[in-house]
Amino acid sequence: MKAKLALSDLLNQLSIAVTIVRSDYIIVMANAYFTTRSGKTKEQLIGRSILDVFPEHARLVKRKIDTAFVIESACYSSWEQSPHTLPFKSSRQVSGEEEKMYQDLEFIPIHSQGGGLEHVCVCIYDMTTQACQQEELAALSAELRRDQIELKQTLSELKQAQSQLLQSEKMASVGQLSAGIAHEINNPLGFITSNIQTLDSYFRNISTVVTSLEKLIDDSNDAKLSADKKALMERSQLAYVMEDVSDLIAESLDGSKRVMDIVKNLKEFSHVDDSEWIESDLRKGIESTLRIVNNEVKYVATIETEFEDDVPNILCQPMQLNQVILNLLVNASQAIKENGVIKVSLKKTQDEQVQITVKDNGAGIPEENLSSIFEPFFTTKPVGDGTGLGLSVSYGIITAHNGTIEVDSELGVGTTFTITLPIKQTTNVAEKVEG
Amino acid sequence: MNYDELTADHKDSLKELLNISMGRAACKLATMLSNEVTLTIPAVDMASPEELMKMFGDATQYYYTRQPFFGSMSGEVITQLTKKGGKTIAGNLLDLAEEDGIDTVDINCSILEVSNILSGASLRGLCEQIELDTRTQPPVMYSPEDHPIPSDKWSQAIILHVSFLVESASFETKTIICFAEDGFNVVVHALDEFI
Repeated sequence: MKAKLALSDLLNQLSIAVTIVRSDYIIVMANAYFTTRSGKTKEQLIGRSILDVFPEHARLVKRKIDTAFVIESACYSSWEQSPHTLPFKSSRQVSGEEEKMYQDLEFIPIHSQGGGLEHVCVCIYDMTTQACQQEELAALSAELRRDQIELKQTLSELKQAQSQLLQSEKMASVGQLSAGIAHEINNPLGFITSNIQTLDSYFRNISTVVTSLEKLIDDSNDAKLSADKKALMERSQLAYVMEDVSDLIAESLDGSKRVMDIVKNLKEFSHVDDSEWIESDLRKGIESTLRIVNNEVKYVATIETEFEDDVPNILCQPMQLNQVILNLLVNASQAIKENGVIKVSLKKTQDEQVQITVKDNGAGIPEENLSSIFEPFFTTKPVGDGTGLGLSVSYGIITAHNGTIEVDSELGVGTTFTITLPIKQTTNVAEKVEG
Repeated sequence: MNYDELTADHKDSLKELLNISMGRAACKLATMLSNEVTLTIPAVDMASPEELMKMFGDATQYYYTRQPFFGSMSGEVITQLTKKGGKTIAGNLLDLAEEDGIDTVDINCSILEVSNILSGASLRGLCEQIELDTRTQPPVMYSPEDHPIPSDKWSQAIILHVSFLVESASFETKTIICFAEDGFNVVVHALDEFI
């Protein structure tokens, strides 16, 4: 009797909830921890079916008790699979945020003195602290994973922005350099052209005077004078010289005009003054780019243009857009071996946007590369031929214009790049412009 | 540990004992699943950590659980269960229908339960026959890929393994009982007594 009392006292001292259940699920014993945490009195527990007392998870409890009897060995339930098998209150009633106790359960079959199995001891271990810590860790781990993904993405964007910045700075330097050169050429070219024009005017006068003198000599009826004039003219090949000088002056004027055109194109292309957001005529920009790139393209392809008349000016950075068109045209010409056609078109779409397409009939882009072509440093050109930045920079520029750049390509048929740009810019850009 | 002590007689006895206890375990599982369960002839081997790792199949095809046991003999039971058929087993064991939406928690719950039924019943059967006392601890999910068997903790272990097949669900499990080094002499002594 004393031993029984000692055992009962010991069970009541344990900080584990313990109950003993008969094979017909009737509770025959529950320790103090069990009654406290379940919020039930001994009268509400002893002599009643555990399945009736806790109907919420009766199916699981029944299965576990049955299993323990069948396998004649302990069976378990973990908080990870079933956090709150029995509706026990949390042991951290003051400091914990959770209401219910996280539990691990153990169902231990008890052999009677006769060797038979008649009872199962159900032990409920309070796993609240560990469970909460694990859940916090899991949440922290998920947050870390999210942060890591964000960080990777930011790093990638940073790398892309850096390469775009480098390329933009390089292009800006090239633009400034060409604008500087154009300016330097422009001054001497100005006086060369002016001088040649003056020379042309003087020569016309000289030519008129010489012709008049010839006529006067011929009309003087002085045979010797006429003969001397003729001999002098033949000796000096004056007739040929006069004609050739006229041609030389005309060719020089033509040459200087061509140099002037090149300088003008260079200035228009570099648009050093237009690196800021301005209302610009895309058609003019495309045409000036076509003139610049013509020398590279003309040996492999002809360029066809189709510009609709009603395309309005758009708020943009013209120099940057010129750079995009230049990149696309150079890529198109490099995709063509010979006798190619590059078609550049510009139109206004229904939804207040403009669309530029650059279509070539070159080699096309393999499907596996299509998803990578806008990534920085992606290139299929031999080492040294391409930086792999052209299309990524183009993508960045178009994105900065709140536009899209799309590619459609078929091997052996050709490639079409479609740029869509809004006619009116969003508030952000508008603020930048005003700022 | 001297493995020379594990003679052919010991191995034969272990196989015999294991056959009986595993047979009981299969019977219990069949009762719980209400399905026929067949088992292969048990095998007794010595294995190094590397050899034990090789016993595990393709991680994408299997679930794994591990469950310690302690008492007169101690060690761990590692159970390998096919992912194929896992849902059917979970449905049978937890008494759930397909439309109840059997989720990962249900599957893990049933996988742990199947492991516990097999290891609990087989260890108990084995212990009863050689009159040793052992108790199991709760099984937990295990990933040999993420937590491989350490190669420097022990060199050789007695491995008892047997496969159970629930044909109707195309579900197969392999129970591997690994005895800890300090449990070896106890097993050998108990076997000697048995022989």
